[in-house]
Amino acid sequence: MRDHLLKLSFIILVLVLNSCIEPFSPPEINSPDRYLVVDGFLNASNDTSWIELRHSQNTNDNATYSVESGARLTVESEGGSIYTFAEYGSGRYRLLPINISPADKYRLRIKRTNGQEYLSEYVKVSLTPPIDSINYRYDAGRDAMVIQVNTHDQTNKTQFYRWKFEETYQYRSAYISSLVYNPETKQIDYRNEDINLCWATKKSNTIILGSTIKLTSDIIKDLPINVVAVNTNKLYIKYSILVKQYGLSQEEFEYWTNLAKTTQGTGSLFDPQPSQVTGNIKNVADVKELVFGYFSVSKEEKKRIFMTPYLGQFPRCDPPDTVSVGDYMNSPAGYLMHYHGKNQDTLIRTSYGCADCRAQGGTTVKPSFWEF
Amino acid sequence: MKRLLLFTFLSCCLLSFDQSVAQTVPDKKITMRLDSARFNDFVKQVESQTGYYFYYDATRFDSLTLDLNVTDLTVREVLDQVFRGSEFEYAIDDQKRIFVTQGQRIITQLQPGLFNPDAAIDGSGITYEGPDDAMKEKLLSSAESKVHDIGIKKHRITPGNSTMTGYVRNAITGEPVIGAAVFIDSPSIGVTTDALGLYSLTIPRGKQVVRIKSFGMRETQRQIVLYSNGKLDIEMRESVIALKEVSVKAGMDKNVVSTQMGQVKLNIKNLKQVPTVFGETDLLRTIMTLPGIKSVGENSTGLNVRGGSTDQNLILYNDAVIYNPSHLFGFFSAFNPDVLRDVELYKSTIPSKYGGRLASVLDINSRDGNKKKYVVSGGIGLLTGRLTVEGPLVKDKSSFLLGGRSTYSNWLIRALDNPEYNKSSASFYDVNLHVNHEINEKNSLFLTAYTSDDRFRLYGDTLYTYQNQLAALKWKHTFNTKFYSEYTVSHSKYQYAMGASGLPLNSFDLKFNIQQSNFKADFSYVLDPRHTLDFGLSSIYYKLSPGTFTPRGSESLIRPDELEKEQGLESAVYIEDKFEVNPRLSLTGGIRFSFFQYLGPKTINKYVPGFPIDYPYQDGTETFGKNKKIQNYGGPEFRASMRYSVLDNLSLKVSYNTLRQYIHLLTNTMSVSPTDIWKLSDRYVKPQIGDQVSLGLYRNFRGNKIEVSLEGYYKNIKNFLDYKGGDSLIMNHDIEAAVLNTNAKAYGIEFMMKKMTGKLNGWISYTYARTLLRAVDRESADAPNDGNYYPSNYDKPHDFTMITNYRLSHRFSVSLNFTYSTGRPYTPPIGKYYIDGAQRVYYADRNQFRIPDYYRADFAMNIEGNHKVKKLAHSSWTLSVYNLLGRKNPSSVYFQTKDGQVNGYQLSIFGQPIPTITYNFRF
Repeated sequence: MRDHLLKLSFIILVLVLNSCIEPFSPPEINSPDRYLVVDGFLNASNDTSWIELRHSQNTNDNATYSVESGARLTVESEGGSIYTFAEYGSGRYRLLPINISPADKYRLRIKRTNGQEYLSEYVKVSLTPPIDSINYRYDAGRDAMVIQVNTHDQTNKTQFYRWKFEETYQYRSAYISSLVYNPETKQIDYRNEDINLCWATKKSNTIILGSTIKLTSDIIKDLPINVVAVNTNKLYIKYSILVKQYGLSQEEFEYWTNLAKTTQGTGSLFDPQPSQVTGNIKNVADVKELVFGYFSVSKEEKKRIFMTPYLGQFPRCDPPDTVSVGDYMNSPAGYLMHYHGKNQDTLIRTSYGCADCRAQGGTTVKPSFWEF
Repeated sequence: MKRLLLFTFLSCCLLSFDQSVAQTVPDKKITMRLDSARFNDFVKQVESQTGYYFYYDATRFDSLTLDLNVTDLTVREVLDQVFRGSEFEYAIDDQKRIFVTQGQRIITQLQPGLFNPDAAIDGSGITYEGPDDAMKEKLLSSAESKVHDIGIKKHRITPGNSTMTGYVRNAITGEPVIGAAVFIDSPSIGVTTDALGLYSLTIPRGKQVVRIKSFGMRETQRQIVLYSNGKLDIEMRESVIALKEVSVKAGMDKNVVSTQMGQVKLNIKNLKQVPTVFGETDLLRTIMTLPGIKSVGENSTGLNVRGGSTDQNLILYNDAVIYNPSHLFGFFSAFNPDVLRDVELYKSTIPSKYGGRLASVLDINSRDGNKKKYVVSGGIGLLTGRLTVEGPLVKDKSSFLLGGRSTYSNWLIRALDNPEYNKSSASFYDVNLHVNHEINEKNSLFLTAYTSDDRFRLYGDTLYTYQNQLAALKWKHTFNTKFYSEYTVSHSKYQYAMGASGLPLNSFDLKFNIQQSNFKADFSYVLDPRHTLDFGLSSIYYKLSPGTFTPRGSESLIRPDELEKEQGLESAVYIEDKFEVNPRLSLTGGIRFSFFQYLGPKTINKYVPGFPIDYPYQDGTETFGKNKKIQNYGGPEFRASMRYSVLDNLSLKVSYNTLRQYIHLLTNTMSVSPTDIWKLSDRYVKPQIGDQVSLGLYRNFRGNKIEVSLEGYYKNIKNFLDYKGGDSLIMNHDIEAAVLNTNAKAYGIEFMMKKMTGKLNGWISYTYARTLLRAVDRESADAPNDGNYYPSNYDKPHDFTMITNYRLSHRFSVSLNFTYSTGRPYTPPIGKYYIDGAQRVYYADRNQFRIPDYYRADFAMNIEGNHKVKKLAHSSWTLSVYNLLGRKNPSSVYFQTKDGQVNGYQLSIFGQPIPTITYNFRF
């Protein structure tokens, strides 16, 4: 905020003094170069590994990111084993569980369809201790639920951690729609699906890191990994979070630290110096070529918890309106709640957003892991 | 008085005298024996023995005694013997009259044909030449035509050297003339006056013509007869016509003669010629036209000298440090041109008495107030007005100078139609006071006080302010003619504050301040004519408040935060010897030992040993009590330079310097921002250490009228500070984790051709310079560009400047300036990608691309009022057009993300021609 104010003020001062601001679009920021993006890791917990290959694009290009199909991905161990990924459509590559030897080192080799070959550095297998527990506490100051993770490594070897999470919560739309217009029969029928109750799932989009390097023992205690504000209404019915924990090497830890630091803002007059973060993958023929992504061999530890703190409030929406059945039949629009009036000749009508919980991005299908 | 003038005029008119016309001398011989006789006894005896009659000024001889023992000599032989080696001359006419004169011989015969113009002149006659115009002008000054006796007068002068000393002062104001060259031509011996205007010149005894030159002053000379050690004070006059003699005369001889290199001295008249954006003489902007000196952008007065960062310049105003030398975030420099005398910039040979900054020393001196009469002067421009009052406190002993300057830009902003702007305001002022007092010949006191204040309010809700304050007291003491000293105590303070009151819940005050108290003692001892020793010591106590962040107003929910204060003590001792090996070769060698202590009370962060200094590796804190030493740094700094005159007007200079810097300006923004903070070296932020070797060739052409210099340098800087990506420096409790230690190398070639006299004057300079940085820890993930060298933010390889001034008449001159430089490097976002569930923007390698080149032409016209000396008010007008071509030079480029698109913008601050008009007056 402070920086922002500063920036504004400066520009204004300058305007007063007959300055001018013009678009600046030199060739370097419009470069058509597309670089390879490697997103994924070798899963060391006897599970399927996924790696996605995409391309970077110009900052002004708003198309969806293109993917790299037809590449050949292999993982090579220093011990001489070679495992090949199979393409699973649209730039996704899959490797079924393999036997990872914790003492061995692995590297990723990518051969693109254009013949370019890429190789990561050899990385050690990062072992991950299991998550001891996930707990939560209500923070009155922030009016939010803070979700915390606990873990420890008795061998004191892990020291660097990264977490991802997927949160799933149940929620309702404001109004229940019990009627539905059938355009084929031009009749109003009773709705036989429940569009009032939904489940929404969101993945973490920040980089969550932790380290025990300054501690005498490798213990993570009550490290906050997610803060759920009460006003998001995620906590009103039932909330679940799946936490994934990864042990990291120091290099990978620094990679994620830098990535977290530098990719938030863009350069402006008073912004800090940006710096470039790439990773540990290089083009064999041209080490200067940019390649994004960090190849690691990690064990993934997961834990899910549920909570029902009943915090928040029932969703509110604009008041519904009434419409006569005749008028509605002439122009059937909106979501119908129920009949109204002595003769049931009027309808209570509301909007899609107020009646269909899927409008907020969730699904009406109960997830398989959901408790009762 | 008039008669005397006429006499001297006549006697000097009669310059040539042909001995062959002398009369036949009668045969009468003289025999006499005198022992300590007075001159009139001698005259009486000669008159009685020969019948000749003497004409002479008895008062000139009343103190003379002579010993004589002659037998059978003619009058001429006796007189030759008597007057040999003395300043007296004699002439004998055909009527047996002997004229004894001092300095010039009387011509006893008129030019043949004088009364008969038709008679043919056979060429063997006497020709009388009148003095040329320049000579005539000089003769009008009685001090120049008079012969000054120095020392205890003797009849006969024994061979050998004696020393004359004295002050050189401004005849009008009584101000000492510093750096004036006092010299004789044959043999070539010269010295310059010191900071008190004192000189000490050791030359052969006898008749001499001592010449005195100083820039901005009329050259003068004194005819002396040096009998023994003695004293002569010299008054110089300023060149009457201000624009006529705009020159760097001290530099004129210095360029080739002194061992100093990379030194530039500008006086206020040079400064006034350079057109500036708001019509006001601007010291720092003029400095920027010199080779090797750059600035990040147009809106910045931060100087980058030879690849140094803006904090590597020691900016001294009358020996007190100024931390922020600019007003209005860099649009004006903080120095009122009316109170300045001169400015000296050292960029390669830095004298041992200076230290604490790596790149340069900018020594700004105010002038002394007028010691003879009260003077009011001032100027009115479009945005600023200034007024200076000066005058004697005790006539010829002490004087004061009070100058003030303020802006009235508020009305301009308020006059704008846009209601958003006219709620904004911008203002600044500065006040200078300078008092000097001459206690006696050996002791002088100088007091300087300066305060400046800047305010800028945005939309009426965010107020930025900053202030510089300083006070300095200096005592100059002369032990004897060979041993001088100077003691200075000073205190400087710089602070800024930012107050935001736009949203009551988020209103805050952010404050920073730095103070330093300084004591130093400098001594200069002339060991012998070939060795001059400078030595001294200094100590600086720093106290910094790196930031307080407090809620503003009762509604504000801002959580107060305060960074712990920092203390440090920087001390140094130095000694330097200037050694004139022979007239062709001179050497200067110095050593300075500086020592820095970072002191408590303070709590510092600890980091896990063996891991980078970064947030994840922080491990607790350590607390130190008051004045406990937290960290010590120190080491020697070597200063050496050599000058060798290859030819009379061609010299070669070499210098080597090391410097240490214990205080740093933290700035990670592209341009200098008002919220940049100063930081002392601590356990993690190591002192910056620089060493530089330079080589220069200097040649003067056309009788020193055209100076050409070519200098090359190579510089290494250890622990140069750069910044990791993405960290904010404001209110950062772990500042050491946000900085990145780099090693820098800078090299360049600077060419300059300067002509400061004549109708057309000015300079042309071209610089090729590079500044490259590389992370110390090249393997670190934070190391920019994979640990390879990358250009610094102000790396602008090519830089060309032309400053020209053409004087159409004494009252009217025009200036045209042109400047070109390579665009500054920047780091653009060059793409985006999607990884691990989020979109990321990626940047090019640091500083690998450049914004468009910069060029600009400025034009100015100076019209002086008439030059009647007795006029009530002297006035001048300056009309100037800044950026004549109206080029939209991008001063900065930046990027903003809007709807997922990253848009680039360029900001031109002065994107069109800016005409200004300034009226200056003095009465």
